[in-house]
Amino acid sequence: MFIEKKVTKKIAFLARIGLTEKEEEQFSRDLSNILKWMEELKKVDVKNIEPLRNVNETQLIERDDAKSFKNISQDELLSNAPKKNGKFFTVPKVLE
Amino acid sequence: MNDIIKLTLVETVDLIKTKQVSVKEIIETYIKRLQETEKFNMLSEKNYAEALNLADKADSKKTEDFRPLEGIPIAVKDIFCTKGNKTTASSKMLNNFVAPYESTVTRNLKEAGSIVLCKTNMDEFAMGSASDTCFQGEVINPWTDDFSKPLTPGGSSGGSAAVIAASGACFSLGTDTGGSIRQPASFCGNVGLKPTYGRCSRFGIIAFASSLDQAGPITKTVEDAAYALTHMASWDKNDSTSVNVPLPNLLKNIKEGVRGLKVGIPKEYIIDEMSDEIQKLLQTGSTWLKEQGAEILEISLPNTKVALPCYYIIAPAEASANLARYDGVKFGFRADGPFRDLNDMYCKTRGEGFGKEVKRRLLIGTYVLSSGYYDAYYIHAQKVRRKIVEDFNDAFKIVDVILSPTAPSDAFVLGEKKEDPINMYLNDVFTVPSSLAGLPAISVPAGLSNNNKPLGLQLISSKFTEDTLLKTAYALEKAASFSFTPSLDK
Repeated sequence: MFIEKKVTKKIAFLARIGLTEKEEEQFSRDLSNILKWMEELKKVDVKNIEPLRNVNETQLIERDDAKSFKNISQDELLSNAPKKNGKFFTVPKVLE
Repeated sequence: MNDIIKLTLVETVDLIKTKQVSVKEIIETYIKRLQETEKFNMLSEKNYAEALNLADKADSKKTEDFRPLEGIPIAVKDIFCTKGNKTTASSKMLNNFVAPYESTVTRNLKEAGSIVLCKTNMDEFAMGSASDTCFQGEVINPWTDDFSKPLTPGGSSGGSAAVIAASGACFSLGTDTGGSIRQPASFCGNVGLKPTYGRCSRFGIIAFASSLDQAGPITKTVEDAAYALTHMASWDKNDSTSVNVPLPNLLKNIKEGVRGLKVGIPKEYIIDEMSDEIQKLLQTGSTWLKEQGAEILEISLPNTKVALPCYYIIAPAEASANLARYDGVKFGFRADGPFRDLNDMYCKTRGEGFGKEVKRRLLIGTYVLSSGYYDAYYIHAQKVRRKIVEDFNDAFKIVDVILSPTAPSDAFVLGEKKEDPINMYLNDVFTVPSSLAGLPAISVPAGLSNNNKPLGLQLISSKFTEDTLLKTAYALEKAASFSFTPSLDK
C-alpha cells in the first residue's frame, strides 16, 4: 500500500487538519508504512462474523432526554471560548 | 515524619483514621516531596492551596465522620475533568481549558474524602507509549540514573506512574485504552490496574477511543489498587457504556491464595521481540504461582498477532470522530486569523493545535473511515475484534487467569522510538488484546532488568472478575516482594 501525497492532502482536508508541505511528505510515508503493516489483518477469515462495536453488547442503556448540566451558567459555558462577543461565540463570516 | 511518603494507601488511611497524624501534615509532606521532584516534569497543574484548605477541613472533623479516603492525597491524569482546574490532555489544543464540570470518577473519589493534589502530564490526548508527545514537554522516569539519557516513564499515563514512583501521592489516576496504565506502571515499578470496560464511568474523561477507554488506579501495592478501585467504580447514567454489575468485594478474599487456581500462559505471547530477561521473568512468575498451588497451563489465543493492527484501526477511527469537536469555536485553541473562510479556520486551528502523533492517528482514522475503505479496514477490524474476544472466551473456559509480561522491554531512553511509529506501537503488544476484549488486567512489579530497571508481569481475568484478578496479583506480589525504589536524590 502506497499513499500518494495527493491522497494525504485529501484525507487531511477531510480531517480538517492543515499540513505543511514537509508534513504532507512525512505523513504520506508514515501512512504507507502503517497501512502496509495492517495488511496482515486481511489474512484473517471473518466469514459470517458480525462486527463488534461494544464489548458489553447487552448492556447499552439510554439516559433520560434531559439536560445533563443543570448548574452551568451561560457565562461558564462561554468562559472557555477562544473568541466571543457578549453572549455569543464568534466565527469568521460564513455567508457572503 | 519523613516516613509518611513511604506508606501505602491502606496504611495511610489507617494512620489518618486513628488520628496518629493530621491530614495537614500528610498533605504538606507530599507537597514538599512534589516540589523536590519537579525535575521529572510530572505535573501539569498544582492544586496545593485548595489541598491545604481541604486538609484543614478534614482535621476539624470527628473521626466517626471520616469517609473511606478522608484526607488521602491523589494525583490525577490531566485527562479527567476536575471542576475549576485546567484540564489539558497535555495538548496545545486545550492548554487554556478550565473544566466547568467534574468527571464521575474524580467526583466519586472526592466524595469519598480524597484530596486532589495535582494533575499529571501524559501523552497528548493519551496517544503514545512514552509520555513524549506531551505539549508541556516529556515526562522523565524517576528511575533515571543518567540525566543525559533520561528514561521514559512509559505512556500514556506516564506522569501518573512517575508520581507514584517518586512517592508524590498516595495513589494516582490513569486511563488505559491499549495499555496506558499497565505499561507505565511496569516501567515505573508500580501496580497498574485496568478494570473491566464499563466499570468506571467515562463521563468527564476526555475521549480518545470510546469503546476502549477505561479509568484505573496506579498504586504502590495490589491491596491499594483494590481499595482505590472500590471508590472509583460506579454505574453512571451519564455514560451509556458503564455497566450495572455490582463490584465484587475486592478486599475480602484478596489474601486467600491461589491454590487450585488455573493460570494460562498464551503460547502466542512468546514473541521474537521479547528479550531473554522478559522470557525469564515470565518463567519466574509462573513458578511463583505454581509454588503457591496454582496450576499452570499452556493456552492458545490464535489471533494475538493481528490484535495490534486491529487496534491501530479501531482506536484511531474512534479518535478521529471524538476529536472532531476541537474546532476552535466553543472552547480550546484557535489559530490566529485572518481566515479565508470557516474551513480555513478549522484547518489552521487543528493543524497548529494538534501535535504530530495526534495528527498521524487522526489521519489514519480518517483514512480507514473514508468512503471506499470503511468496509475493508474499519468493519473488517471490528470483525477481527470479535474473533479476539472469542479467543479469550475459549481460554477462560479452561483457565481462571492469564499470565504474561506487561511490556516487551524495560523503560527505554526518551526519544529512542519517536521517529518510528510502528516500533513504538509494539510496546502495546501484550496489553492491547485484553483491551480489545474489555477485560480487567493488572501489571505487578516483578523484578529488575539487567539495567536495574523495573519489569512488570501482567495478569488478565474474565470480565467482572476483578476479585480473582486481584487475588492472583496479590500472590504474585507476595512472591516477587519487589521492594526496590528509585534512588531519587542521587
